[in-house]
Parts: sequence; C-alpha cells; structure tokens
Amino acid sequence: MNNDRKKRNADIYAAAIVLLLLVIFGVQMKNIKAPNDVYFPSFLLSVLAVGFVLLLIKIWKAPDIRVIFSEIKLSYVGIGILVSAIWIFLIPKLGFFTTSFLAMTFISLMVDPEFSLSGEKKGQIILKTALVNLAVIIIVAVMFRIFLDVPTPKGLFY
Amino acid sequence: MIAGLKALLTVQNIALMFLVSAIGLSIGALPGLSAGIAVALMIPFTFSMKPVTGLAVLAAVYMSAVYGGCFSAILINTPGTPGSIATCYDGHPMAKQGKGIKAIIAATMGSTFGGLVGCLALLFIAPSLARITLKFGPPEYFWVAIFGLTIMASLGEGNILKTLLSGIIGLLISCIGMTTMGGALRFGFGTYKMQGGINITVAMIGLFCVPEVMAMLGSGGSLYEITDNSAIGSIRSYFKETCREIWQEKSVVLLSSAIGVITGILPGAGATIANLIAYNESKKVSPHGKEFGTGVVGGILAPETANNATVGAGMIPTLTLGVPGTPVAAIIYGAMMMHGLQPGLQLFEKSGDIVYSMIFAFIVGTIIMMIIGITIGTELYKAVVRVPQKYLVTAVMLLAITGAYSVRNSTMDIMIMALMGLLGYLCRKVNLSSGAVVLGLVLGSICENAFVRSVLISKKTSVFQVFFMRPISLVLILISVFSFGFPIYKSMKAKKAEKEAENHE
Repeated sequence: MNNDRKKRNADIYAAAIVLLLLVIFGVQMKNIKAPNDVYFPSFLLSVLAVGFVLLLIKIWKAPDIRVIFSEIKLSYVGIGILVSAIWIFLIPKLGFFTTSFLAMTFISLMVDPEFSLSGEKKGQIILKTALVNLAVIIIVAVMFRIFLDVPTPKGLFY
Repeated sequence: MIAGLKALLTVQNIALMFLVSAIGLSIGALPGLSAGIAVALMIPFTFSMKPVTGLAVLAAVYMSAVYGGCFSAILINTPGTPGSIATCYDGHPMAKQGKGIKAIIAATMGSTFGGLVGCLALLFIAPSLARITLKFGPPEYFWVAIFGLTIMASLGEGNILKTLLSGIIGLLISCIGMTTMGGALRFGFGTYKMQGGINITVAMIGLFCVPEVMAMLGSGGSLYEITDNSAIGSIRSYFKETCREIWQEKSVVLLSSAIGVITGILPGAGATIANLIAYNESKKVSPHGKEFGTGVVGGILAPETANNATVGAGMIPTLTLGVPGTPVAAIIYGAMMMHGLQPGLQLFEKSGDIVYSMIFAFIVGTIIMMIIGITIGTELYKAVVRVPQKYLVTAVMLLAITGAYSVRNSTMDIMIMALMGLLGYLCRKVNLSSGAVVLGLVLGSICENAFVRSVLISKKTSVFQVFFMRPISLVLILISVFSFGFPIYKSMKAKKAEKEAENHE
C-alpha cells in the first residue's frame, strides 16, 4: 500500500525538468550575437522543444508510472544536499580541510545507526568518527598536495 | 626491432615499469585525475634517464592510468577517466552483487587484450592506419560524432524518447563556454567564470558519483549487497569462471579491440568515444547482449578492451605523422623531443631502435599492468566493501570534491559538479539517462566544430556534396542509420510480440 501511494507519473517531472532547461537556455540565447554561434544551440533547443511536446503526449498516452523517491531515509538525502551545499559554499571561506572535516564528521554521524541509538557512548562515537575522518583527510591531503602536487582550495584556515 | 627489445629488457627498466604502473593505476583510479596528469607527473623524472628508460616509464604509466579508470567505475560508479564511462553500466552493478573481484578480473583481462591489440597495430600496421587518418576531414568527424550519438538509441531501449531528450540536454550543456570558432562566450549566465565551459571530467563526477552518494545516504544500509564477508571470494574462486565467460564473449573482445584501434587513430576521438561505441556495438554480438546493464562480463569487457586499444593506436598518428592524436600523446610527443627524437615521417629511419623500444614498452607495460591490476585491484575491492557506510559516503564525497577542483583549480568546477550531480540524481529518479547526457556532452563540441568547419569548406562546392558525397562519410551515414534504427526496430518487434502473446492468452 505504501508503494502504491508513492507511485507517480515520472514523465510529468521529466517534462518539468526539460521545460526548466528550455527556459534557462532559451533566455540566454538572446545574448548570443554571431550567426555561426547561434545555429547549433538553436537547432538543439528546437529539437528539445519538439521532444517536450512529445513528452506531454506521452504523459497522457503512455505514462511512466513508478516510485520516484524510493529511499528509505529521504530526509538524509535532503540534509545531505543541504550540508553539501554549505560545505561547498564555505570551502573558499574557511579552507578546504577545515570545512571538509566538519561536514564529513556531521554526515558520518547522521548516517551512523549506532549514534542515534546509543546514550552514554555518544562521546566515544563522535571522537572515533572525527579521528577516522581526519585520517582520511590527511591521506587525501598527502596524496593530492604532496605526492601529486595538485593544489586544494585555500581559505581562512587550512 | 630486436635491438629495441633488447635495450628495453633490463632489470632496471622492468623494475621501474612495475613501480610506475602501480602509480599510474592509482592515479587513473581517482576521479578527476586522468592519464594525462599521470604521464605529465612522470615527465620531470624522465629528464635524467636514458631515452629508452624514460619513454618506457611514460608508456607504462599511460597504459596503467587508462586501465585504472575502471576501479572507481566498478567500486563507486564514477569513471576514473572518461574512457571508463561505459564500465559503470555493468561494473558497478556487478560489484554491488558481491562480484567485484569478477568485475575487476574481467576489466583487467579486457584491458590487457585491448592494450596488446593496439600495440600490435602500432608495431605492424602503423603506416597503413596513418594513411586512413589523413582521409578524415571535418565532414567525416561530423558523421563520427553523429554515429556516436546514435548510441543513445541503444542506451535507451524501451525509453527512447527520454534518452534522446537526455542526449539533447548533454549537447546543450556542451555549448556552454567559449566557441572554438568564433571565440564568443555562450550561456555564460552572467559570469566570466563559465568561459571554460563544462569540463567532461567534472560533469562525469557529478552525474555518476553524486547520485551514488545520495543513494548511499538514503539507503539506510550498505551500498554493497554483501552480508557475509566470506562471500566476497578471491582471485582463485573467480579467475577460471571469469576466463570461461570471457572466452564466451570473444566476439565482444575482438570487436571492441577493432573499435578501439579505429577510434584511437582519429585525433581528438580516442578512449572517450571508443568505450561508448564499443559498449553499444557489443550488445549486438554478445551472447548476453540483452543483459547488458545488469552486471555481465561482456558489458565490462567491451569498454575496457576498447579504451586500452586506443593507447597504442593513439600513438600511430603521433609517431608516423608527427600529429598527436590525444592530449596524452601530445605530452609524450614533447617528451620524445626532449630525448632528441623527432616524431614524423622519418622517425623510424633515424631513431628506429629507440622507437621500437618504446613500442615494446607499451606491450611489456600492458602485461605488467595485468599483473598489478589483478593483485592490487582485488585487494582494493575487498578493502572497500569492508569500509563502514558512514566513512565510505564521506570519503567518496571528499574525493569527488577534490577531484573536481583538481581539474582546473577552480571552485567553480566544484559548484558545477554539485549542480550536475543534482541533475544526475533527478535524471535517475524520472528515468532520464545520465549516460546519454554525458554522451551528448562528450560529442557536442566535436559535432559542432566539425559541422561549422564543414559548412565553411562547402562554400566552394555545396553543402550536399561535402556532407553526403564523400565515400567515408557515406559509410559512416549507413552505419549511423543502422545503429539508430536497429534498436528501435528491435523494440517495436518486441512490443508487437508481447501484444500477440497477450492476445493469445
């Protein structure tokens, strides 16, 4: 019964995505002046528009009914997206490794089933998680910065 | 030839090749770091070496780095290099079923065979193949890109409309940035930071890796469906079985090698296109073609054989014509000049022994790659499946962000990676195809540049003559029509058969 409730017409969402992209790219087209630069994207937008119309017909004639969000813990996905957005935003401000350490520890604790259940051992779990993530960050830092000589974003802290 | 082989086979050279193969494999396995970076990193070390040793080192690291891309494709559904995009389709599902070792063995054997075929092509038929390269002009490149795009029909069997829409989205995204012909900024969204466009590696990390991370976050359990570590198996348990299945898929291996050699010799095409075309075409010849995408050996063999075949083949225009076929070949070209070699028509006459040493280094490097790949790769899989979910998620996120940044040292790329990741996640949910988006992105610039150049050429003759009257173009058009029409025909036939079966009931 839960699955029946969650089933939706995926084509409607697909059409929404296509429409959004059509609008975004269509609006940007007015900034392109040279004829040679206009042909290819214009052609693609036209084909995409035709495809959008065909998709609308498909919504009605042969819809793709499916469970779209089948995740057990959908809230974790939402929080993960939010934390990742903040992580990426803060990288150039606070520094790559500082921000990564904080974000990684938070996400690890969020998905750890033991953390949500335990009472007294929470401190130990936080410490262990923080140390493991710190070790991973150090390994990545050594690998990229020292061995491969590939820089990482800099910020206020390390 | 024999003198070249003798000069190569010293203890020092072989030991160095083992070391750099391991390094190349590790670099290729990291998302965001390509074979080009691996080879470029080795260049300074080769300055003080003898030419034979220096070029052998570069050959070994190049071959391993291209192969290394399969590891992240299999383990975390993120191609380590663009040449391993199609490896994700069957490699990762197989790893999730607990057969990661089998996937790695299949990828290794495919890469070895493809690498050897490419090297043999380089050794024996380089001049003939180089002549074919000269016949490819902008119209032929345009039709090669169109042929590549027809793969979408096969990627989206049963869902062709949405797959085509996904491909068009990819083509549109490829239009972002400076045009190579006019130099104007398109779809800059008000910022000069979009001048460089959307890098394929960054897009790949976003489209493949980020949805996988989101799946891990939302799964509430393990990414890998392995409840018992003893079920992971070992090389011994899987080697014979995998080799038997590879033998059954010999048609896939042969076809993919040929595709890898032919696309490899075309400058600008290379492993990125080869693996996708090989995957698509192998579906038609494999005894398990219908199961591609569910985790079958043939689906891993095809792209891995093709991408390593492009390594040797890509050196053909470099050595024979002095025209680097790929960015990595251009780096090796530079290294050759530093060692006093002049790639081009007289290379084999003036420096034959060194050149043959380098060609044999590719062959020996392939065998070394196989040994290291099977031993390291299987241990790596065993290590990854044992890592607790909470650490695996964050480690993959960190690698994705670092990899995206490392491409152009730009925080903009991290944001693009995140946006592409969101797009990839939504595509997964509504049954649009991330694979087709990547395909469009890869082929878009090739297609448009070739199209505009062809139109410019046609000003002296006619557009029809330029696009439709050249012999190689005609062959490519026919292959494209077949490649596009055949899956649609099969799909319609299957639906008709289903309806008839229902009517009978």
